[in-house]
Amino acid sequence: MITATDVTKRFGNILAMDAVTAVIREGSVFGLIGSNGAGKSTFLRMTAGILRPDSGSLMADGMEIYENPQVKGRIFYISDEQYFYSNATPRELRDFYASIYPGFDKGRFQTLMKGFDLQMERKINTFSKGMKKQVSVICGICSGADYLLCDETFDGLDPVARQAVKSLLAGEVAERNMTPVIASHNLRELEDICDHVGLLHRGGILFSRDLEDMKLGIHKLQCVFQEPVERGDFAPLEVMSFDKRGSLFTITARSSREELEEKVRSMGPVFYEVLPLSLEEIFISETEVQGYDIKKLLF
Amino acid sequence: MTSKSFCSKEESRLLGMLTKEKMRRSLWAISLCTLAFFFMLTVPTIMGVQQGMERRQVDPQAMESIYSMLSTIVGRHNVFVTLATVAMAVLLAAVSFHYMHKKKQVDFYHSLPIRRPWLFLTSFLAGLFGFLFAYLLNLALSLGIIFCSGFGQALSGVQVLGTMVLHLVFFLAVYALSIAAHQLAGTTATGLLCTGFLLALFPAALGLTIVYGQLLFDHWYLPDEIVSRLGQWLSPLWSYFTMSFSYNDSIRAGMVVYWLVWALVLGGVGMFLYTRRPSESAGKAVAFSRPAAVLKYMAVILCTLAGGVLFRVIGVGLGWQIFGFFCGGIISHCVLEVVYNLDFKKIFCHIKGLGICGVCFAALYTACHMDLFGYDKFLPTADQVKAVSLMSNENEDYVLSVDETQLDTLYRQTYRQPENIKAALELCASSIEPASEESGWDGARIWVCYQMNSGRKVYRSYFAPSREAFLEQWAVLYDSREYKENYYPIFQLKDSELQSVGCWQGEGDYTGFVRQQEQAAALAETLREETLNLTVEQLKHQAPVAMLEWGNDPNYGKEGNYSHMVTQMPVYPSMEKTLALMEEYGIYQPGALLELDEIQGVWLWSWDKEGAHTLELEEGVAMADVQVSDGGDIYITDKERIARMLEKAVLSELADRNPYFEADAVRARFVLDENMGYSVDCVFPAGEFPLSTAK
Repeated sequence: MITATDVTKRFGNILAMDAVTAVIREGSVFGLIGSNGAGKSTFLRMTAGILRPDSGSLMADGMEIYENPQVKGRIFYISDEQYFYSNATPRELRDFYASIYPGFDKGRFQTLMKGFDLQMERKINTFSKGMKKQVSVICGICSGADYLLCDETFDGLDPVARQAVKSLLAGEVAERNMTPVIASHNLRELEDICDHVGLLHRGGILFSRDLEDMKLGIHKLQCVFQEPVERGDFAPLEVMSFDKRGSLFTITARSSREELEEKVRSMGPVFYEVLPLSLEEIFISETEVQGYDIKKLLF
Repeated sequence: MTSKSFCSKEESRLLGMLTKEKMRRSLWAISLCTLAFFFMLTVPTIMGVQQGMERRQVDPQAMESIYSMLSTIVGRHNVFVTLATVAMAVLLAAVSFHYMHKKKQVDFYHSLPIRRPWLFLTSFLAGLFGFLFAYLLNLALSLGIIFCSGFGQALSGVQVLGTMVLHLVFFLAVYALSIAAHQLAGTTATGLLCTGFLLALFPAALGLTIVYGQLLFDHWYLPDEIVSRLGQWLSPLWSYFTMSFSYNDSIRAGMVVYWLVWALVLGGVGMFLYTRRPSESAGKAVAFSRPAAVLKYMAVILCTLAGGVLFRVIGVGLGWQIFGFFCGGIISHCVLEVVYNLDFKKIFCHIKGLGICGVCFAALYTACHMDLFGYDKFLPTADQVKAVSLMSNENEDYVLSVDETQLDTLYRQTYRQPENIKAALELCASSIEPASEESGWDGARIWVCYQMNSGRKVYRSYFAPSREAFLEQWAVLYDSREYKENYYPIFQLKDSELQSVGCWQGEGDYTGFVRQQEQAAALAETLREETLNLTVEQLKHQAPVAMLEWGNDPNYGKEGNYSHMVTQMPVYPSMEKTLALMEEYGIYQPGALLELDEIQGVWLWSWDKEGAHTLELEEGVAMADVQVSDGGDIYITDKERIARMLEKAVLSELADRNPYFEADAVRARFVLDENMGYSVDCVFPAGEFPLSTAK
């Protein structure tokens, strides 16, 4: 488990992280969402032990990360712009990481490289951006690290590769309880993989929730009424959004599914249907309640 | 820190692996290093051996010079190896730590499970091993070539080892300094600038201190040896170049150890800075803002001073110097602000800081200019000093060894006797007011070291405006036993060091040698006795008639062997016992310095300070015996007059050995062979030129 307690970081006059407190449980995929400049990379770099927090503590399994090789040996960091030795090939990279991470699986590396159709002997500096990301992810997965920190890793991957990587990560989580932390500004990218999501805004965490809990707690329902209804008619349910188009109403409410259905049934609809909520919609709802416009936060 | 936490097995393994990896990544730099030493060391060795083999066939006696040449090439006097070592130290430091200035690479390395001190070590060792490989490979090649070609005698194990250690230590010193500079910087370019600044800092500061000391203070004096010593202790380059370029000194082990310790300490500082250096400073101009500010103002002050000197020299005068201060200070500050911020628009940043610095500088400079700190006015009392060392330019430094430095000569003339201390202080007190321009060049220059009771040494120089007044006070010191026993080496040498003595009476060869130690010692003893009785008043009226040279080898003077001279002393006409002994031993020939018959004519001249001739011949000189040149010099062929001049004439060569000798204004050149241009220059004691009445 990675715990951040009141972590603050400044770069000169810029407050990059402002007393951030977060918990990343092992065996779950943690999504770190935020707009450009929110502090995602800073948080990941501190978690990787590259940056020292100005105040607060950042620990993995109860041990400080910074300057702690024992802990850092269990963390693999994939930067948004990964560095490779000039003229290095994937084979040389494999050998390098194998000497750094004792649990590195060379056989699996070979297999995955073949699976992604990447050549072992070709110089990495001749790879495309997406191919380089693939190599980085493969290195990270084969390293055997318990924590895999991915900074905007899916950016640059084609849809097929993206799905492949997501499968790989899910497989690692299931098999050996690996904990990927994925930073992105793209909600849709993380929707089907993250278990837990934290939203960063201007160096602070707005909220951090289990995705399932968020989904369980919020539901969207479309219904048709013969008689017009108002938002207040749905009390005592907490209506987060109320959209009316003619006789078609779309309601998002913070309640259980059963409570919402029961309430709507009691109002005598012509038709109703519970709709799946996207991560984006959940976020919109959550942030609107807190007084933020999601578009300003993420786009 | 427990031994367990200091370095785990895993970290040691990673250290070795990463160092190898770093060296692989720096192959181009190591190759360049190897190539540099190949052309500076191996190729000259091959050339030297080839030349040696050719010469050996032609002249088997030339082996010594061949050995000397080869020894220079592989030894510490190979200037090119010295320069290459410095250049490679700077290059390898920049290459090894280049990654610190790139965000991508910083993220890569600092995310690895290895602590920063060990990461630092991998880079440090990569550069060090690169140098060792390049230098040792070429050294081994060179030594192999020398030994295989039969010139192995040119080298000794001690010499080779000493040279290796010298180059390694100074490589480390410059390397460690350059690494520390790169820690302070955020880009490779500013790292190199910082390296250059730190390497030049102490020599520049020392040089500017000397220049401004001379500008601001009338009595400024800092002995060259102290400057050299300071430079060698403060600047690795100064020390390295001195040891490499100096043929007189051997490698000083203490100095080498000092710089090794310095390198290790600076390496530790570099490691400390590396561990404290924020990773986010990659790509910025500076990594640590406070030290950067300190360095900035140091550079600004140095540039201000340098600007002042430059415009003082070009423009001449204080006004231009002040202009130079402004230019140097403002321009350097602006340039550094641009460099520090990597943004031209920041050129006028921190102007307030510059203003404050400028005000402080102006205040300090003005205070020095007005001698508010009392530098020029400093004059201790007799009870404040335990000794005074004092020397003047009116000296007989020819009696001293050529290896003796100016400082040695100064300390040789140290007075501890109260009466001599008093006389020395009085001499300084009389010279403390600066000489006026009207005094001209008649005066004497004095250099002093006041050895205070506290142990502190204070150095000053003075200009005694009047030679007459100077000599009157100087005579108290010269005439003292303390001066002679300290100054003349003949008083310090043991009899065992006086194995032979040669006599030279000017013009031509030695007149004789004594090669028995007892006779040489007896001459020395007599001369000492008579020298002690010599006074300045006597010396004003007599020039030496001979010089005695002692050697510590009985064969001194044989077959051109003059390398064993230990001292020489003048012999004056008043030293009757010494002259008698010299005549007894057959090495002195009294009488006229030249034969009348061999003199074809005599040129005479006398000029005053304005360059006008003052020579007037006595009445009744036949014009046929006289020629006058276009320049106004007079040529006399009359034998009777030449004979009269011969009686009084003293060889200039010998007269110059007595700084107190008062010569007449008339100078003479006795022509022995006009066609061959063979002549002898002479002077006359003041007022004793026999032929003229000067105006």
